[in-house]
Amino acid sequence: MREKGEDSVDRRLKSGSSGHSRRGFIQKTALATFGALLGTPVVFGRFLPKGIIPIGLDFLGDPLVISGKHKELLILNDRPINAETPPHLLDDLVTPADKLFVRNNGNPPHSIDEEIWTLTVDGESVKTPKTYTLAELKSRFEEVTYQLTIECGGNGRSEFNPPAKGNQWGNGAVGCPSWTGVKLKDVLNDVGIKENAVYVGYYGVDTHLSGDTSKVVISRGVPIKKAMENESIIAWKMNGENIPNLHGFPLRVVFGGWPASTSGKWLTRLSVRNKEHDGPKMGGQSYRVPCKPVAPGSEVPDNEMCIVESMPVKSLITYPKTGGILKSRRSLEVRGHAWAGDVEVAVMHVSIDFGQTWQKAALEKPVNRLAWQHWSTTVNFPESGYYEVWAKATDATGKAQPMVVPDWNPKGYLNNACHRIAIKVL
Amino acid sequence: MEKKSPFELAKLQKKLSLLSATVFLLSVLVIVGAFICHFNWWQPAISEEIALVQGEEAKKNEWDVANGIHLSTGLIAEGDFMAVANNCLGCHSAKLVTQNRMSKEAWKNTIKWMQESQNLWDLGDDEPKILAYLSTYYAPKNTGRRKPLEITEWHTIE
Repeated sequence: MREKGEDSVDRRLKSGSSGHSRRGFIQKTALATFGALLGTPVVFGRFLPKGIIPIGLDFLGDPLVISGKHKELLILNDRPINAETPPHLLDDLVTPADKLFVRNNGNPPHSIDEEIWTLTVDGESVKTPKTYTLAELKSRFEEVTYQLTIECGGNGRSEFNPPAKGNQWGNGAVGCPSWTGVKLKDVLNDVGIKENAVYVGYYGVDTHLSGDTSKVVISRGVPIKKAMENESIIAWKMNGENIPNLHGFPLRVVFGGWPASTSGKWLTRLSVRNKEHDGPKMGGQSYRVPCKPVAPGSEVPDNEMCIVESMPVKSLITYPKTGGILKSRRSLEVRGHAWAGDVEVAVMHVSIDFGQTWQKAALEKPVNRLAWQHWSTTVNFPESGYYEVWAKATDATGKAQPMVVPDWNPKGYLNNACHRIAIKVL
Repeated sequence: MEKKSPFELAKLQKKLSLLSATVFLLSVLVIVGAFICHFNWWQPAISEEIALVQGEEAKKNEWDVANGIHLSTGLIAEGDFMAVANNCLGCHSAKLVTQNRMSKEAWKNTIKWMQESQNLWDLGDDEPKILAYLSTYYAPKNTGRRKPLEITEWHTIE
């Protein structure tokens, strides 16, 4: 059983508040409120005593903290909870739970009982629907562990112009934890799948924001070909422990290299369809891009939008943190990770002269298919001044990250423009 | 017109000033009363733990504005922002509004999408107000193909 409310957003007073009385704070805000009542414009930031920030003032940089998460995660939305990880916090080879981004379309379930949790596999293309308890899943199939990269389809959305709607992700809606579970194909084979199977859709038990319990929050999935890959798994562990509630406890699917929205959380049902799955957020404009490139700002009818499948080649500089100052030397080790959806990253380059010249970085092989790859190199700055380090990955098919924001699309998916950090050499 | 004697005029003036003093006193009473109800500020200093809870209540004070931002919602406190607060924030955080920038048409399409798929009600007379507010205070800016890097805090690399 998970503790109720563990994933709630805690609103906390800024540190140092204990030395001030509530009365003092209220007297000062009352002064400002007086102005508001009189209808005059009020600017009262200067009235706030140092160290006291009223609870919930997140737009002032108030420390909203999600339980179980690193305090530096950037919270984009608190209802539903969505938060991204600043790139320098993604330096670990395997992303720890507290540094994995959070993406929710609805509200996570509470008070889950593992003992009675079941997974049902049904749909037009199963021979007979079948239901498994968690214990049955764990005992009847071969257990596998893979490190799998999951990235939000909208990672990088904030850079699109005209702006695309939705959570304005920077670079940090990506992570690569290790996942333990069973191969989805082993379960599907055990159930018995018909020849006409086209798609596998998931259903979870998160709840709709409107409170309407009859509404499914999100039900996406993958084509049968992706579902039958070795690395497509039904997982119950993340980094060797129970999956955290925010990430799908007690059961989820993980499809590495594809938009993370395909990796359904709080999994109770898989539907093997004889057509493209049609659950909420499969159709319309959700997780789709124009089938053919369009000019920025174009209106694109639904029937000209195509589902995003494998994510594009991308990389991050996870060390150093952007905004670094070098005081007594001119050489700097830079490092990070690179990934490329269904394929491998073949080569990694960095530039310190805004893309005029590129130097090759050392690039490791992935620990398994669909895991991100680590890269590192040392750059030498010729003289003092302002520099940007740019990182560019090229995948096994020859596709490389663009330097500017790639093709505009209405919902702002798939921005894989090269990651940049700023460095000053004194 | 009837002419008043100086005595009568003085009497009238006295009455008038008495009346305005009463009005003034009454307004002061109403405002002070409002504050007392608003904040319960006669309460003695309380423990941090309770302050957290009461802080949540204080946050809900309808009128608090700081730096042009309506505190309890995070919306820009201009125009018909309360129409947005009343119609939109029942389901989702204001952050979903404030992090986005859209044209009037795009905001309208977003509302339409929420009505079709997210159980949003008919906004009635509030719809034009909401659209005007959103397209004024949350309008797109031209950011070009790639913005310069923004560094909030420089740090020394050892």
